Amino acid sequence: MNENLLAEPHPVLNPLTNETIVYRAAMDESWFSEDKEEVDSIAFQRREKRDPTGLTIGLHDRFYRGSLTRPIAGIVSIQVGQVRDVGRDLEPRLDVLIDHAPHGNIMGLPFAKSPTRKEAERIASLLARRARPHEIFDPPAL
Amino acid sequence: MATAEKYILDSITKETGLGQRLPGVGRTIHLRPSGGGYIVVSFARTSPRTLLETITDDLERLARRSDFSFKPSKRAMRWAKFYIFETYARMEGAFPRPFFVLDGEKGIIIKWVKNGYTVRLNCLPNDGDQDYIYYENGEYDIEENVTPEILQNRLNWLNQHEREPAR
Repeated sequence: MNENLLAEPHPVLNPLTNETIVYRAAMDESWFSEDKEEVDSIAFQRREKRDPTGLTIGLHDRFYRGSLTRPIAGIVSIQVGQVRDVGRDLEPRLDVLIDHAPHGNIMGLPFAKSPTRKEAERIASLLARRARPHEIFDPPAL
Repeated sequence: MATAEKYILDSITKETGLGQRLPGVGRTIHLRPSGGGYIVVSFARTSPRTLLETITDDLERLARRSDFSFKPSKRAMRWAKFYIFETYARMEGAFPRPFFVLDGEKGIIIKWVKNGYTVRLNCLPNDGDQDYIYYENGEYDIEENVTPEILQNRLNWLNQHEREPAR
């Protein structure tokens, strides 16, 4: 068998297991609660300009290096199974897909604008309750 | 003059833009002509900071520390202060202390959370944007066409549930 390992530099990892933990950059310290124990729902709101495909996540907690140019306030984490749980009754369902490992997206989130604003706020709130601060950068860092 | 701008001037005289007495503004500021310009004279504080001053300081500190991409727009700041001052004047001691969140698109979210009940007032960045309130307690909904009266009613809802925890 003539297997060329270089032909697939980013092997397809999908579907991820429910136990997989994915990470997301917290762009501002106000995205954490004052006691740094909770994540604000703004971290899970999808915006048209910023998130055309889906909401960016990574498979490891430094996935954002090389793509961000400004310091961030920290990293939040959430299990893939928790994302799926939140989106169980939605159409389309929420899922986490890796496109260019370690980069991936939470897929299926509505945009946080009319007419899907209410649903977007609710889903973001449910995701934020399940997410946890993984690391806080004080001062902000890349 | 736009209502939100008028409040800034009127707050110096301890009244909101809608003409309500504004309790809790402890500092006194005088603007006096000086050779064609103006000087600002402030008097030393003799009393503890009020809740309103603490809230205003929180908001202004947030705007100062933000870099360009996150810095709230003038419109968002103006309206955030407008909602706070006008609603505070209506509620006085019942006005709950909010937290502020930057939305990453030059808007400000004013957030109140108590006993699992949440009220989020989204002050959007651009003229023509329509601010809105999102609230939830298991049930959830959005209120548009935000006014100080609507915000007061929603904060009363929050305060009521503070005294009577959700079952």
